Amino acid sequence: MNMLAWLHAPWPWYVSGPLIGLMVPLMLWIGNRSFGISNNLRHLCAMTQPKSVGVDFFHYNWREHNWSLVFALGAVLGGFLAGIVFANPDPVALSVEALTMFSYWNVPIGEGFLPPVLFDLTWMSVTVMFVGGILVGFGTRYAGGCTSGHAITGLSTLQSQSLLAVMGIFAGGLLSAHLITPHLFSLFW
Amino acid sequence: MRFLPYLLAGLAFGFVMIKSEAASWYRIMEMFYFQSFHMFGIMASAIATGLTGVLLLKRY
Repeated sequence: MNMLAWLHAPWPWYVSGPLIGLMVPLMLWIGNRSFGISNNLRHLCAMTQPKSVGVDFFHYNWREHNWSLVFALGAVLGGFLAGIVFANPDPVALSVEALTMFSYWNVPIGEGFLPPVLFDLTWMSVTVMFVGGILVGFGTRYAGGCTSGHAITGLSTLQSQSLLAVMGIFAGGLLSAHLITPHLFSLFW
Repeated sequence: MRFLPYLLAGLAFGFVMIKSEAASWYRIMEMFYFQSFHMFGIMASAIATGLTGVLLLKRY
């Protein structure tokens, strides 16, 4: 396969998984940092908090965490490169079982990562994303990390609290995917 | 430019998150319905690589 085709194609799990795992020793090596992304939610709040509000949780020197925001900026640029510049022209190659489920739900599978009916800019989709965003924002700070920090960094460094967090995240995902998602569609069509 | 390594690391991470399809809504739903090994393979191999990498980094 030539280089360009390889950049456009999705990468199998046994290539992409180890590359994601390498982020943990890479960040330790670059500057003794813990790989993670959701701390930036706190840093962004700390940066923009008006002086008159004064929430203690946001009183710290966020400038020491500039590197983390730069990392997040890099991730956005990398995502743009991989998803737009080197986009996969084909839809995600799902399993037959998943394709059957999505067709049963009337969810179309086009190119890209998101079904347009759910993520087109409408009042309903914006409302659902807003509620989801609040839950993610609260949950990642309450748990002290998201899937990157807890599942990848935490488990790679054998931290029992991260195992608990990952179990909680997965259980929450299971509940929402099975109990909420199938009913969410009735709001959209 | 002392932030350059972090920008490049972030770039690599964002690129892989898309190329792995781990950021795909379809892949995530498929995972929660246990309809494919893909996402579990990513997580297991990522943790195994991270664990090995951290151990090697500590030793050398």
